[in-house]
Amino acid sequence: MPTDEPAHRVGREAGGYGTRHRDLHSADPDFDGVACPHCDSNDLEVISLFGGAASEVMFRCRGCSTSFNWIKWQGKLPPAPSAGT
Amino acid sequence: MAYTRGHTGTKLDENFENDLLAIADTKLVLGNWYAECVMNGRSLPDFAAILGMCTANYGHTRAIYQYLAAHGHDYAHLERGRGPEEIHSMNLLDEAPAGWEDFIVGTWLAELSTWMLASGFLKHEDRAIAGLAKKIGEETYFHLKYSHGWLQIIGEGKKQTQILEKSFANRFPLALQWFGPARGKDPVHESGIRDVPLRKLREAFVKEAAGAEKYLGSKLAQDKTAKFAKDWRADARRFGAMPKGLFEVVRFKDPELAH
Repeated sequence: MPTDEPAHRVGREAGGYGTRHRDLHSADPDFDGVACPHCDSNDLEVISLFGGAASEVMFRCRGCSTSFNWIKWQGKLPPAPSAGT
Repeated sequence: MAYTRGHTGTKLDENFENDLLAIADTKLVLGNWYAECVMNGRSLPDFAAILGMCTANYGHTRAIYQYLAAHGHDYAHLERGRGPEEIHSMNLLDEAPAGWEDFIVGTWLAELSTWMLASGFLKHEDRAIAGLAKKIGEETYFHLKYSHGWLQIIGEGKKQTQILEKSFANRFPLALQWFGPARGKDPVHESGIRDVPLRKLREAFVKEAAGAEKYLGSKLAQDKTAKFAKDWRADARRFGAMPKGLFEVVRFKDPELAH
């Protein structure tokens, strides 16, 4: 079906968790400090928690629409008595 | 040869080995859950996440088998030579998921419980196993983040939430059971191999599972009375042998093709 939606928005409202990443994780404090490699903006949305590789999170810059992958982990561990978390 | 730090070929403590196998074998089955259910994902990012979690868990299994192989075990036997009674996977994952919500509950609880047990080795004197525990934690961190997202979405639907609550009530006691009786023996801690008593890991697991209520937006009934009959196998952290149907799924099909 033809749509008036901008190309990069098409298919983003289909429902389900995958399409809700940007709402749920775009303000996730775990991603504070991540910046667009093109324009250095911090105004980003999470496209996929598992990006081009399982070790990457995929972002899109809201400023310049650059998509990029960011290496996750950064030493963070889930809560546990020995983990100091 | 007795175990010596950093010396491959030396024999590990038997109870420590059993704990490692319980983690590795549960992750083997968990990897298969993900592999079998990937096409039930709700979106392409779900597919990517499920496959990512699948490969991570297979990787953890393989790394632990390799660690055990470096300490006197036969790798081929560990990976493809054991029968259903020798595989130490969690009872929680014996029954295939009955639906999407049940899949979310089963994988979430398996990720959380295996992490808790692995976390007890974060300060292990052997850097190899401490590093492996850390790596499992780093990867599980994002697996749990994805699980929490699923819980949040499910929590937006009344019917879905009810199905999930029912599934949690069924599966939570099986996850809890994996940690053993609340007042049971804890030889791995008593010998100083694990710095945290099992009791504390169990409590932390219960606390974290309850903490997920904030994502779901609903109360989860935690039955903390895991039952232990005489056929409880403390070494394998399970009752009985792996069901035959599940063994057919996870077993290595053509050993002659292995290399």
